[in-house]
Amino acid sequence: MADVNERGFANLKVPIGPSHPALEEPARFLFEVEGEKVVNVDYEIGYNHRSIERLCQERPLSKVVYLVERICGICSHTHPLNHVERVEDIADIEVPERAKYIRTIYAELERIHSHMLWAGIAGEEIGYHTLFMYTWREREKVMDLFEMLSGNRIMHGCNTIGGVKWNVAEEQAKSAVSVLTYLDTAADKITKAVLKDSNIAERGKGVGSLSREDAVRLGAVGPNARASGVPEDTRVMCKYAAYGDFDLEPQTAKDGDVVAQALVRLAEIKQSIWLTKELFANLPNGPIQVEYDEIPPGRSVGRTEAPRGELIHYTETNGTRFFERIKIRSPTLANIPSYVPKFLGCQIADIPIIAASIDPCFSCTDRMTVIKDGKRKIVSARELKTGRI
Amino acid sequence: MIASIVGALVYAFVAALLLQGIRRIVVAHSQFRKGPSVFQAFYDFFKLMSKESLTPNVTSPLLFNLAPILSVASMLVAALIIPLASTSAVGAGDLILVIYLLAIPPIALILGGSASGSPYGAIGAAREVALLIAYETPFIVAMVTVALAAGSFQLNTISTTAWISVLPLAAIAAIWTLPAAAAVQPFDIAEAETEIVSGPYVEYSGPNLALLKLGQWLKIFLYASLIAAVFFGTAIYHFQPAINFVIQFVIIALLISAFIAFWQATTGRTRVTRVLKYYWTVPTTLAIIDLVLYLAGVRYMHFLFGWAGL
Repeated sequence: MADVNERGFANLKVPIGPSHPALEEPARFLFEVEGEKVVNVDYEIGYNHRSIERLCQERPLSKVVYLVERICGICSHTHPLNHVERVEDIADIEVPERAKYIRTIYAELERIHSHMLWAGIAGEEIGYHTLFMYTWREREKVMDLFEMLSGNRIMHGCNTIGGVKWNVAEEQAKSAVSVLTYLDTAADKITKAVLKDSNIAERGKGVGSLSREDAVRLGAVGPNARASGVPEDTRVMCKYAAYGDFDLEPQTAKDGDVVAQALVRLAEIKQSIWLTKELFANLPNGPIQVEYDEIPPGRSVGRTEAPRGELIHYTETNGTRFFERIKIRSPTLANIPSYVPKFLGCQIADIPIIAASIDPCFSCTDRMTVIKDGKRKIVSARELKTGRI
Repeated sequence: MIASIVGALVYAFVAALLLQGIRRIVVAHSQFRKGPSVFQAFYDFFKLMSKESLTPNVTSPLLFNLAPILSVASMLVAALIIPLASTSAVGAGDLILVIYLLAIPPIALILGGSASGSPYGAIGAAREVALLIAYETPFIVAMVTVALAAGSFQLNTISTTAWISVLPLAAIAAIWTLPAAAAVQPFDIAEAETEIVSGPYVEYSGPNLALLKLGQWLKIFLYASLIAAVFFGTAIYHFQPAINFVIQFVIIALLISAFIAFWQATTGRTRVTRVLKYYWTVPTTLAIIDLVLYLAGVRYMHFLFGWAGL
């Protein structure tokens, strides 16, 4: 079972997953450990294949929005947002300004609650249950805000081709802004805890470091890349929805360790709170939806910034009621390769927090799985290129 | 004799489980939660006792099944020797024997974890060894200091004085080891649910798990009881037996709330490499200072508070 190291001892192989308390979703890691130190790591994803892309091709065009919304329970706005923008791009639908602003409000609220969720989970992984309870209590306020705006906490059903479905009333905007002001102080408190708490510093400083070179080389995206000092933010680069109207600065840190990841995400919470308030203040008047006729044949590819990073949708229509092809690249897939430099040389105790540090969402990631002769098969890059699987 | 033995065992069992409920409620309230019922440990224990015990296909089924029994048996013996609310149930009560017995539940965990054949159990066992070595050192130095000062290893003799008023540094060192002995955050490294899936407990189920847990719960209670008996001795044994029980329970509940639940609520899990450094520096130094000062004949508490008649 075990290989023998240079000192003549057998290294212990510790499997983490597919089912493990440190992982919210199934993925498998095989760690080779020497004492408490990790000397080698292998990872395997593909336990949560749900055949989303195939299902997208099998139902009428207008119903795919709801399916795409259900790819992820946390990024339940940015997936359909990207999807409807692709369709609008193909059909040349001009979306009203107010709809764009409302879409952006939902996207930013989603970022706030997703980053708070991450902070809580990170606390849980290092055994800091109080931090978990505290951040999730504050996160509940965002969920209540969603319920007030859309009637739903998770699946907002906000996006539709040609606009949004839920308008924002004057009173709703007012009470939302007061909640956001409260959340601002809560974010300050969490930031203070991360900076001051010796326990968090001990478990986070220098743990799971990713150098800037590695981040670029391995194609890391989102907060994971920004924590390593790569100023890459799709909101700034692509200026989709209403992001073109505001000047955003990508929030970066230098070290790429767990503390840097936390600080980047907390800074983004503050930034999102500021941006959401601005959006509510500058909400243009007008319709929230336009009608559209046929969706012509065409193709479109685009990017949005999910809370976890850059999300890519490729959409192809053929003039019928069905999509020709939909391809989704979720941010976690781009971030998984950066696990290897993060894990090598770490302690067993640091495995859960490093695994959580990129904010993985494995069920959103799995796009294909190959089963041959009743067994799951790992496909090499060469096999994929030649098509002989 | 029989009555006092049965009384001590029943009291230890009820108090140990009740204190777990109290600890959980204190932790819950500091985390803005309501928490479980104060009797939750009883529910857990009896539910697990009614279930089936599975023995995995392991290297040593004998050792695996023996560990929980060993753990509880040693704690029941310790409950008879430690003076809980009056003098010790079986007579003299020996400090060395009690310290030895209190180390058995961790050793049972180490044996069970190693025998479980799971890598998580093996890592958990290794961590438990490190933890045990770390906190036993200051604890034993503190206890030996008290024994030297009392001129006896007999607990009944030691507990006639409240030694916290004579050797406060040794008392601080001993109380400081409580969170590690209770294996809560930041010292729950051997269980570390998110890291090694509760370590040595991972393969245990049913009555075996219930007994292993009971052994740990009894150990927390008895460990705190020993500290209470040694450092708060006369404060406990001053009154009628019934009142003594209440005072003893309150002191231990306070110790557990302040030094176990508080730590659990305000910290995250530390690393195994940090624990040795942590306990071998400040707490061990405190205990050794008291030991050296006592041997050198310096009675600083008398010097500081002599006017108060201590």
